[in-house]
Amino acid sequence: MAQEKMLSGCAAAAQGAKYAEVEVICSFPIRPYTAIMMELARMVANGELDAEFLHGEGEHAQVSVTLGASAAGARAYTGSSGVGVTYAFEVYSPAAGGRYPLQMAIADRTLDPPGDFGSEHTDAMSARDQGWLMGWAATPQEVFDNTLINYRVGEDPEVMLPQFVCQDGYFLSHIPDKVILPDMSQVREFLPPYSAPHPLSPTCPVSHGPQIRPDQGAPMDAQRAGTFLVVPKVIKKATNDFNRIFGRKYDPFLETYKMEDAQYAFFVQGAHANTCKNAINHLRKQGLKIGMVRPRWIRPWPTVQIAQALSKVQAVASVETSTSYGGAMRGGNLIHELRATLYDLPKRPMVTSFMAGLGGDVVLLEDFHYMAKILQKMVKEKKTRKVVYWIGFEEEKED
Amino acid sequence: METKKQKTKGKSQRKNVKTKARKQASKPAPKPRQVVMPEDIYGSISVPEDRAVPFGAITPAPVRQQELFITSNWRIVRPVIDHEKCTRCLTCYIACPDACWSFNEKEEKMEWNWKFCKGCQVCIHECPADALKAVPELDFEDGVVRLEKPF
Repeated sequence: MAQEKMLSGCAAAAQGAKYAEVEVICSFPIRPYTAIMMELARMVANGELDAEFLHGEGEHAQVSVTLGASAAGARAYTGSSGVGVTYAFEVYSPAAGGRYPLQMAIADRTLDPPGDFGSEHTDAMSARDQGWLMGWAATPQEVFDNTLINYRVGEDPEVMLPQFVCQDGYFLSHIPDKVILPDMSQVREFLPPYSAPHPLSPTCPVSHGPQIRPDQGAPMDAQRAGTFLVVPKVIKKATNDFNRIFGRKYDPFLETYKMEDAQYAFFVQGAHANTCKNAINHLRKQGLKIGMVRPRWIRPWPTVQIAQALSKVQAVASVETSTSYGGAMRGGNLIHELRATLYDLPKRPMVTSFMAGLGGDVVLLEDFHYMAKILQKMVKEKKTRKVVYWIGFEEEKED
Repeated sequence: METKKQKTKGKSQRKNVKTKARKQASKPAPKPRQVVMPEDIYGSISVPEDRAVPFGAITPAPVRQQELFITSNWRIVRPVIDHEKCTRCLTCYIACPDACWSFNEKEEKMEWNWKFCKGCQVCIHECPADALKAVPELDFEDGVVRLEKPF
């Protein structure tokens, strides 16, 4: 029977893995994601979950172990945070290139220098181009759901890719919210058992990860890129099936909030969307037609859907929760792709970015109000004065 | 709101086809939802069959060696053996990181595998009988540096 529980993002991820009936789990501690492994270890210990629970000697080993398990045909699960995500970097491309649909939960944490444990998306964002599927959740419920949806998409025979299932550290990973845990039969209908096309097996020996020649590199890259042209179709199908079986209302690619008549929009990733929606309610009361677009997937980037959603607004604020030092906009990562996405629109909106929610900072309601003010000013002056605003660190605060 | 209006309009139009036809002459039909960006902006990617790599580079396991991925095309020098000097001590067999030396029991001499030797010269360095020497690939007609296409 479906039941409702108060779960943090980490507990929801662990429940997601349990309901997905993962077969191999590899852990290594780093906060804030550790709570996922604590939950899973408890489940394995008390017999709730029948899985192999291994301790990696580091994050590099974690991904390697799950890669091997996936190659042998198991549904494998691991996770990390912050510097742990970057320590495992070497194995990301082989996991995607070798087509192992393992899943890695990431609860974001800042990278070093030293020891700020706060939430910031830079850790996971730095791994976005390694050929994995990737997306952020905004609520514990969505963490649970994304865990299932990602396995379903990643294990599709046309896709066969590993997945980063990301959530904001602390804001999401450690704040409980209502989560509906479904009936096991629903999950089994949605997510059939994983069957690897070429598992490592003594009865039918295969080679995984052999060295390829230089002239085979380019075609292999093209083949991997080609897979991402198929993924949106699979995401659509999986999300529709999910909505039907579990009675949810997810849009496959974007969460939009009050965008029907919006003149202005926030572009937000992750759990800050919840504050953003509150801010929108306030701003709407003041008569400002403003809405929000939140991508549920970062890889593949939902280009067409974002362009469609923002085609009628006049100005967009990209709320950056990660850093791209020295990048084109000298700020975050999202605005690069957002601007590129909107470039071909017949009437493209003005776009600027706001550095907020870094190093564990909370993005406050008043910050969203400030962003809205800047957007209005931009439209009034018909000029993008700055492409990046560092909230709290500007020499002259515009008002 | 807009979509609702369009929907109700559509219903009344379906009800009375004649008025619809008359109206169409004077009034343009309601525009469908404008598609601002087509789904196929990425075009398509097609890798010719003769260049395609097996899915995930996963291949049937080789019984002796992986013929699908021959990896010696960056060799600059190759070890050449002097069978007179060779004492069959198998030091080269042990030293080679890619298992490119083997002992041919029938002919009782060492055999070199050109497909996987990268020319690292460890065997030459280790040979106690001084039976191996490094010869540039350019000195051979089939030298890998002469190949226009790698295998």
